Amino acid sequence: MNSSFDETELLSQLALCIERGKVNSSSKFPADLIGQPGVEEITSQLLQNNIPPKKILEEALLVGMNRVGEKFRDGKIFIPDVLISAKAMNSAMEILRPYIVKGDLRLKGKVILATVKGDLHNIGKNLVKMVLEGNGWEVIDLGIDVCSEKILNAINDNEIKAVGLSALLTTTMLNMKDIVSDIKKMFPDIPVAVGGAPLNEKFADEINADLYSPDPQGFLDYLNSHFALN
Amino acid sequence: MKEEVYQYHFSFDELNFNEEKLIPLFNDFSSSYYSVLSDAFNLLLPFIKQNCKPVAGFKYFNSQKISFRKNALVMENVQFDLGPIIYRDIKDASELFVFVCTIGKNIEEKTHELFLEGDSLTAFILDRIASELVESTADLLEQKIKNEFLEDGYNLTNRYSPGYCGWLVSEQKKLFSLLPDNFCGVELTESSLMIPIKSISGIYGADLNLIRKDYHCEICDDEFCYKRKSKKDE
Repeated sequence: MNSSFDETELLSQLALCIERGKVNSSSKFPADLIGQPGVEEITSQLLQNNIPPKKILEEALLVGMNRVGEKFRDGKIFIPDVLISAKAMNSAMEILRPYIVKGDLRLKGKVILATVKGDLHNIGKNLVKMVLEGNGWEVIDLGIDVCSEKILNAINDNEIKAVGLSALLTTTMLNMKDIVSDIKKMFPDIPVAVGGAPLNEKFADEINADLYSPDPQGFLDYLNSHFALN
Repeated sequence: MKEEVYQYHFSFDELNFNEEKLIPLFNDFSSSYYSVLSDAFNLLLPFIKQNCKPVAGFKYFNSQKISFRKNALVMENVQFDLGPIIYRDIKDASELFVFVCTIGKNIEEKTHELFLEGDSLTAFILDRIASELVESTADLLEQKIKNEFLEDGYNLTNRYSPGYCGWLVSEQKKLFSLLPDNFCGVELTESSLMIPIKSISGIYGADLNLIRKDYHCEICDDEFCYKRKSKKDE
């Protein structure tokens, strides 16, 4: 092990880089960290010094993303800032991916995301995907214009913790009702979250969804509070 | 007005969108990240310039072709249930313009590609720019109608679109039934979604000495409407 290596300090720096969205040393932002190592360098350095990937994930990466989540909940930052941190987080996850593939590092669980039948909007769903992946969840993205059958098959084929459905039109949000009903018939224990501009809590209750969230953070908080880390 | 239907192809430069307009568009970005925005914009700009294809058009309805009922508008025997918010603003109009605008499908395809490549941040930035570009296209059409088609003393109402201000998005089908097929290159899906997605449709009213009012966001319950958001940001 490198004699100048300070594990605690580096984990703390890594959490800060996640929080501030510092991907690597050539990143031009944040301005006060220009030229300093970022997520990519620090994650690699920790791995080279045999720090377990699980420790890196739990004691640095998720610590940084939790701080981002707290700031978002407090209204101190908004979606773009969350995305900047999530981008940094994803760059770390790319470095950790071989450990995930080998089974040495387990993520929090799998979540299905889909834009419902009749709707072709994918931005909202993709933002949710990025935030969930950036917080240690594995996302199975079924895409747009997705029918019940495709979702049921995906639940059947995977160990799923929850399903997230998106719709951006008042016409297509009505399709959510049948999809939620179909999921609940076959998989009553799988929670279904819904989101999208025309939705609200009342509609989510009416269609028997477990959660309405106007933003990705709400769904993330729900998942984190309902499902313990593996 | 001799013709009823007009269609225009604009250039990207006519939309007058530049880096100066970027910051207000992203005022939910922390100021420390403006360099991210600026870098992404400069990287995307050549693509946007080449692939933004603004097209806009309208169909004109004079006073003989329109009538109003309680909260509803009738054009060519098609009844539109506008709801009280829009009706209140448009009921005194003597002329109507049914319009469609789009910037084409290239930019939304690029956005999708960026997401697939995992660059969600750039995709998010491009998507928001694309939304602004289609609004700018609608603004350009509005100017054209004002400058070239309205008689002296006439003014336009706000523009109203199905899906906003209490007007159901399903009424989009009725609106498109009044227009030529594939007008401006825009088509509707079964669920009333316009393809390309970065498109806007709707109506303007016009009348002599009309005073344009603000959008009635205070009596609308659409919390996430972009009009309300932009008003909040002013």
